[in-house]
Amino acid sequence: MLPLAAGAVYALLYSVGLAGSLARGFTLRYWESLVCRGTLWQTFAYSAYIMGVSILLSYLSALALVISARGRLMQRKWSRIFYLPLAVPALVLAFFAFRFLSGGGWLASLDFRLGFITSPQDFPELVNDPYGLGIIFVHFLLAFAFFSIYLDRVYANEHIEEQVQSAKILGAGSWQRLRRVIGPMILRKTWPAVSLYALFVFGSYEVPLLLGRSTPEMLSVRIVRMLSKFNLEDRPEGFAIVFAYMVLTVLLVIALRKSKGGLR
Amino acid sequence: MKSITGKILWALLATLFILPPAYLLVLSFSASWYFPMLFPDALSGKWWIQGFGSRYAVIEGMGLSLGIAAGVSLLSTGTAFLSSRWIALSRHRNAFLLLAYFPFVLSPVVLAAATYFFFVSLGWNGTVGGVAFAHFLIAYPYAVILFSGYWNKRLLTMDALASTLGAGPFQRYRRVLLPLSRGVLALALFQTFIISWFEYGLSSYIGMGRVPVLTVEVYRYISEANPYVAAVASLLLVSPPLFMLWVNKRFLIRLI
Repeated sequence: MLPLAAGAVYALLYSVGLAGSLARGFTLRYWESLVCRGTLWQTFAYSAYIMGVSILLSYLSALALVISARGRLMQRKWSRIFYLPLAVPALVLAFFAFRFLSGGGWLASLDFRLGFITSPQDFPELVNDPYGLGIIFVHFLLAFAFFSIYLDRVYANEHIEEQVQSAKILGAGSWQRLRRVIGPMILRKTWPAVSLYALFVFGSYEVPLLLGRSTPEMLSVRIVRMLSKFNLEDRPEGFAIVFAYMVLTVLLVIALRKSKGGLR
Repeated sequence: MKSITGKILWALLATLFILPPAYLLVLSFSASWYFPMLFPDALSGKWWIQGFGSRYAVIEGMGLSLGIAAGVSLLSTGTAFLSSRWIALSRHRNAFLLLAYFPFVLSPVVLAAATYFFFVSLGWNGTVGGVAFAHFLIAYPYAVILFSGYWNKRLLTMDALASTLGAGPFQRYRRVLLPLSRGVLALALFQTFIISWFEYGLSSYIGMGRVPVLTVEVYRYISEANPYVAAVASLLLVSPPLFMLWVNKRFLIRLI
């Protein structure tokens, strides 16, 4: 924790002109510039969008699968395949997505053979696109596998199927069983882990590095780009984003710990 | 999930999950494979031979990654096992665990960016030791969190009993705590190994490209537009986790 705290202090000092090669006394101009140009909000909003869509899609798909399997998904013969994406690093999955979904990739080749396109340029942008579709695809794949395993375990451990059967006997319809039994029980138990996973996606680096574009840009990629540029004027703003992100993460983790049923 | 719909769904899921490693396997053995070819024109082992040759640093990267991951895994598991007991008995247990979450939850590359100045001050940037220490910064808190729920009343009572019967601290660890904790220690060893093995952002930032761990090499081959050797290196990167999956699938579930 000590290096992290020291890093946060250093980032703050750098961002207000009190540390680093540009230290010329206290100033808020880097922060003002970030806030006024909207860079800070744009970066955070884009990362939040990727996080929200990836997590929502993967969680709901996994939940639908687990409910339809009645919590016995992992008892099936081929259930081990759900662990397969977890054995593949995000960097490798991003590489696969690039080879598979780009204009010169396998899907584009298939479209070409089927006569839908005549050149790679005709293929829709699925990677390095403004909506982050490629990034969402990779995070979806990883999170869907993880949530399927995790939700299935919770479904079985919390004896949700027994509760569902009791509700059915008492006359609850399928929508009521989902809304009043399965939904609350699963959400209450899984939201801390889901929130942690969401934070990982928010700060992900290698996937947007390979599959993203320079505008809009996810948080980690933007920070590294700003801190690695030859233009030293960008570094204080980069450290301002580092500090803002660290504070946000600390506040979220504290909120998760303090909330009822939150992190252990 | 019944009948044909269920079978179709399973087939789709299996395809979705198996496709990435299967595609990379074919890519690594293809003589050439580009748009608009649906399949490689011929199969060849030349990229594997070249990858293992002196022109590329695949083997060097794998050896380095294995060494760093094994060292980080042993050190973080060992220190976390000892310190988590102290944390579990501390009055400030909750505060310590809260602190353990921060480095673990933060984006590793941002952690690297924030602490880079200190690595430079110590002369650890661009060194194997620096990269290993950076990995330790995230692996250790993860192991502490993993062990945090482990020190329960039963285990502490056994420890107290051994102490009452005259066992010293070393004997208590050797004869009581370590034999009882084999399962959780194996889990922590494997999972911290995976954390270090998969790490790219920290390795590239702190290593400055001078520490060619396998993830850094994979990215280098991708950016050099050498997909075939990148596929070879990617498959080597996937092999230890696949081995763990074969041994025990529980080793791969990382989140608490």
